[in-house]
Amino acid sequence: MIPTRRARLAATIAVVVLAILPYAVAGRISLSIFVFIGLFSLIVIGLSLLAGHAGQVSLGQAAFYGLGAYIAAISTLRIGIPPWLALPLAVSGAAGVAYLLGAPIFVLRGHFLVLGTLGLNVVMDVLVRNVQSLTGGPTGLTGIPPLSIGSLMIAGDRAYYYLTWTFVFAALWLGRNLVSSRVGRALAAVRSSEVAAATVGINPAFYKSRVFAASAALAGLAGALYVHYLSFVSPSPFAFNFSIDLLVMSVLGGIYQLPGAVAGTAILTVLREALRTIMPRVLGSGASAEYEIVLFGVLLAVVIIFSPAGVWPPLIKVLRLESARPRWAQVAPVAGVLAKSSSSLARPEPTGLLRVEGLRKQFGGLLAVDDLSFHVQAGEIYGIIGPNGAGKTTAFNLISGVLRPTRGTVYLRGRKISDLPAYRRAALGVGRTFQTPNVFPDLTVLENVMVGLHRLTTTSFTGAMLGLGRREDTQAAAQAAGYLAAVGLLDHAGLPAGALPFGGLRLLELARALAMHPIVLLLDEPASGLTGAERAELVRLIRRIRDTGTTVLLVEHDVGLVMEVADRVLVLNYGRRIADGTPRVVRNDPRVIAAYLGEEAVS
Amino acid sequence: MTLTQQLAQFIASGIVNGTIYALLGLGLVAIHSVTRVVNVAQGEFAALGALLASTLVARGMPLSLAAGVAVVAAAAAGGGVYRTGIRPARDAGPLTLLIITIALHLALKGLLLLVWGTNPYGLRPFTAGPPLRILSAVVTRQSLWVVGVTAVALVVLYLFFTHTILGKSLRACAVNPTAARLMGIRVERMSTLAWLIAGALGGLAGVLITPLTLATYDMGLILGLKGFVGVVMAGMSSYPWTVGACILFGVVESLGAGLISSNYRDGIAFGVLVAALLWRALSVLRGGLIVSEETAQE
Repeated sequence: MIPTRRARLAATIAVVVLAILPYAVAGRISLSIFVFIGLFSLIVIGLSLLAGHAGQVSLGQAAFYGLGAYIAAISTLRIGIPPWLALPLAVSGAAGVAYLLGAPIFVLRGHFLVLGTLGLNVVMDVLVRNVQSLTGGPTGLTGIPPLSIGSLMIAGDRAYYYLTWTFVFAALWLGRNLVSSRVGRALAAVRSSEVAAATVGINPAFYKSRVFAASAALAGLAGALYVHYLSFVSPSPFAFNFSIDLLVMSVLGGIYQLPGAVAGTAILTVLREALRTIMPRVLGSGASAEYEIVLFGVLLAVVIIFSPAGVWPPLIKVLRLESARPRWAQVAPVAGVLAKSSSSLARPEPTGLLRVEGLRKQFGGLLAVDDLSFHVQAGEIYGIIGPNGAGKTTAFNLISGVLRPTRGTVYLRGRKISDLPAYRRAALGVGRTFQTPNVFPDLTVLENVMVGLHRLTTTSFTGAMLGLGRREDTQAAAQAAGYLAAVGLLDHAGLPAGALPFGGLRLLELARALAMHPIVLLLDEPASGLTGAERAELVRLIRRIRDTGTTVLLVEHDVGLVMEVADRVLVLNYGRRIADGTPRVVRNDPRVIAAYLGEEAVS
Repeated sequence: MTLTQQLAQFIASGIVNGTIYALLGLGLVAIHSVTRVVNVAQGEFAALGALLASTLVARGMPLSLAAGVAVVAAAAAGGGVYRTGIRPARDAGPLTLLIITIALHLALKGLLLLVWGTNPYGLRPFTAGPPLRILSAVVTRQSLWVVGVTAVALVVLYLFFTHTILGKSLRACAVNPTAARLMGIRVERMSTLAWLIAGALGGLAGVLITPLTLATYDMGLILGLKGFVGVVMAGMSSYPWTVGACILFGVVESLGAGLISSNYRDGIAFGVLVAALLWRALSVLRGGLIVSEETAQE
């Protein structure tokens, strides 16, 4: 996402307003509320990155905030580490704990992080309150020194105001770089379909755990700044309730745009403060707390019901600050991109490029694939046909790693791949498409293909945050445009992928799979739902893919198409092989005729 | 007391607590399976039931009637919350719905605070008499009421889900709302029903536990959270496994608090939860599986 000129102008105005604010409000409002908005914004930016871009929810960000605070407090007070060194210690401590928790948990799909972080928050709170010798217990620790660099002492509202907001803008910048990079596209892919992301070589847990660690680092930073600012620390600000507050702030602002995090934080903090000062005046000092909670809950519910995506998207619309999506500067020559495909033709494998041995998959009582063995030679087009429920798609899922076989082995170029996860198999050169096209609808058509280039590009997580992947991105966009041209979709490159018609989705998936330069490409019913003209184009395309060196496996109900393009055909029925050979041989096999037309047709 | 006696005692009180968590957990499962909402306000139904029953009994209403009124009121609160807060936003994502239930939790808690204030309310045990001795544990009569009434509620729930058209329709909505709608089931009505059931179960939990612990306006959140832990441990959708997981969680919590220190009660319970999650994750890692079976079936 590239900011428009209008967006840059708005950002500049925001910076200027924030820069003069301490002088504008001097003597009227305490600056501390703005310091806190900044501190909370840091945490909420991390949380929005996690929820909006990694698709994971943490109910324990307050724990990392607290971890940063206590690491800074304890290391300066009890160990005597200088504050400027305690700051990075707090940041890396929080990030480290998050990584150790996240890396295993993200292997489990679903929202287990909610539970893990919730647990962590409660455990943290209990420990901080009870390990008194270290943390000072419920009363906490006092006398924490302010930050200082050499003889320069950072103390007072104004100093921490500027310091905090500098970090906020740095976080926004780093976050924006990340989101609009190779890593950001990978995250978007994982968010919309982990299965599809894994089959282009993206390891979902890898990126999720890094985003989670980054979000914890921001929370830890906020915690450390907090203790040096206030010079004391006690357990209550870091309890589970505050984690809920933080999540509310991020959703209120809108989790898909990072500046929304600042907006949500500001609104909630100011609203809280306003209710606290206004309610006693309206109702007398006695009953204010009760009404405050009710009103707060109701307001929050109303805002979310009317603007489920938070306040930022409507705000952007009113101010017309939409960002532009990436474009391609040039279209890489198609022949070039396709020809680079693979070296598999040069090295014929004696036992076949892809070899399947004794493959079996059982779903409860159903044997979907039963003792299946076959091998495919390099440069072949290998068709797999069979009636509905014959196990064709299951076989593809077993080869590509979407399912784990009950028994049996898959070899690629003599290497056993059946115990590898899907993303590793993709990295070794197994590409695939899905029976129901599985594209990433939030990304543009071009970006979808750029995700296919994921494993051929190298920008790291840190590099992406620092904005170092731009040149590589330009090249990737040009290459992706080349693949789009090859399948005839270049005119739609800027559209959101979800807006393509059905045939377009199939072609886009194909372009994405080609972009990863697969050695073996598994096409699952590529012709279904295509018009006559599109089907003819598909036949040409499949041949062209093979001619550039990629071996093609083709599952298809359109038997005519398979007989037309395939070199050899495997026929499955009830998960077992009933025939294989050249199209001519298979076509006349009585068992095949029986499977398709019934026993009577044979006799 | 010998260690065996102590252990028996801890396990017994763990089972009683776990039973309460289970009632809340079952409500969460009912709501989540039909409407895909994780309801943070679940514990407030228990707080409402507890406070209402206490007040009614204090004003002279017979206990059984007061309990009935409290359960019905909590059920109505469940249905009302769904109609006013959730249904208008039912097409929003799960995270948005989660935030709405957080908002509802705050609003309900505030209302309870307005009506009942911060004082704790008590309720007399359902039957008077000295505690009983079961194996080597001393068990109050109210504890038996908790376990007994919950067992009856479970049987009723089981019969409802397996032997009535309404119950089967509810299960159909949980499995596949679109197919259920095509079969002529009014999914909207079933969603309301799920929230009514969840409210009633929550209210029941509140009424049952008050004689043991006292009722306060803010008792809900932690009860609901512990029920939620059981629900997630059991995989978000199974009623029987949820009951088992909640009781297990209650026992672990009680053992930890008893054997180590009650200051660490919640810390131990949630620490075990984190450890269990990590253990499960590492065993999956060893299996080399990256994409789960059910997603591949989509």
